[in-house]
Amino acid sequence: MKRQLPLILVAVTAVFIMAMKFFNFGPFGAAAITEADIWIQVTYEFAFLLGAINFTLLHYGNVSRQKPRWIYSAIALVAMVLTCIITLVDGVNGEIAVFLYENIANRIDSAIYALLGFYVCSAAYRSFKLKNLEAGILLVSAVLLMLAQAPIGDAIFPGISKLGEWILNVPNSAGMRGIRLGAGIGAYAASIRVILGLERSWTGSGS
Amino acid sequence: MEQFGNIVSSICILMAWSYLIKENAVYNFAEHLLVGMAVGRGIAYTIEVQLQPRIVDGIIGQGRWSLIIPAIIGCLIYFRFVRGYEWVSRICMAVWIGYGAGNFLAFNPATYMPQIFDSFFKLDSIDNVIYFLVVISIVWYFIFTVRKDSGFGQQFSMIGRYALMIAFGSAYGSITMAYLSLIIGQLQIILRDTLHLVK
Repeated sequence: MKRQLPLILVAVTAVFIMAMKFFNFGPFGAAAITEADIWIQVTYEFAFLLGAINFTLLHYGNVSRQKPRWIYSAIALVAMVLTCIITLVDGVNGEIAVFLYENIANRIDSAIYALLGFYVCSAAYRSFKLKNLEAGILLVSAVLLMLAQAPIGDAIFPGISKLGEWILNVPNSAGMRGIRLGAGIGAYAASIRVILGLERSWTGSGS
Repeated sequence: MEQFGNIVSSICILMAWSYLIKENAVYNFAEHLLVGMAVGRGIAYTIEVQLQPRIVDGIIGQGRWSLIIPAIIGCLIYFRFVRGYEWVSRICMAVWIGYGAGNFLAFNPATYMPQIFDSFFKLDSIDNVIYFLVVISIVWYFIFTVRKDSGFGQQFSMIGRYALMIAFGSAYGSITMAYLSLIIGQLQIILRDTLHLVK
């Protein structure tokens, strides 16, 4: 039962959703899908503490066992508790809560994300060596796009912005569509495998 | 208050960017501060914006007692922390995975099918011909169940590979530009809004 019940539930839930979509059950079908969406939303809402509990257990363990760098775990825990209390007391749109989130969390978040920009440039320097034709095409395409999107590009090479636009609209758009089609077909196959119980790695027991 | 916010923002940005020198205590502090604050706000947001209206307005207010069933299913996930009963949490996961798979198979073709149809337009311009060839060659490149050791199959697969390189290259270029504009935005906060060095 421990292994079979979840697999049966997966199949039943998936078949129910598909049946409501593919067969004509009239108003009942549409209402059932709307209700199923609400039910799933409610399960997400009531499971929201999972991440927070995991987070707390991990960092509390680090602090209580005085592991290396435990002080940072303590900082994370204090930040979590204080932010949660302030946001609950002040309200999600409260002045203090928004101030703290916008000027501290959001700023650090976007600054760390922007750090990737520096590393993208250094990675490009290391990896864009003209080793073969594929690397050359990648390099030329990337450089053209960057020049086309920068104001200086048109000043150096007049008309490059139009070329960049063409690359985005034709080869890039077609390439991304090909990739999306491939990924979509793969996702259909994976979904069917999950429903049939062939893919069961999510149960922790392997395929 | 706005200037104080800008000063705090600038300090936070510099703390994060200190990682460019090397990993250091200031960066680690900022990193853990961010994670803690994000989790704390996430909890408060879910309680105030989602859970409270659902319980007060939905279940009690409108008398939709049937919603207690998904609420219980959602709570089953916490059995992960009860030794010996971890398998119960899989019931909740099974509902999510089944819903996701069923929803994908039922509703996603509506997204993909128009894309497939749109790829077969009139080949009345060079752009359309290139577009069509690129899509077909990439799809051919991703078919791994057919041997493409020699002949036209191999050549066409190579074209798909080159087309992918153009697509990846242009995507890389666009992403790099997006990162650069993000960096410029951060520099504006420090140099323009806080220090008033630039206009």
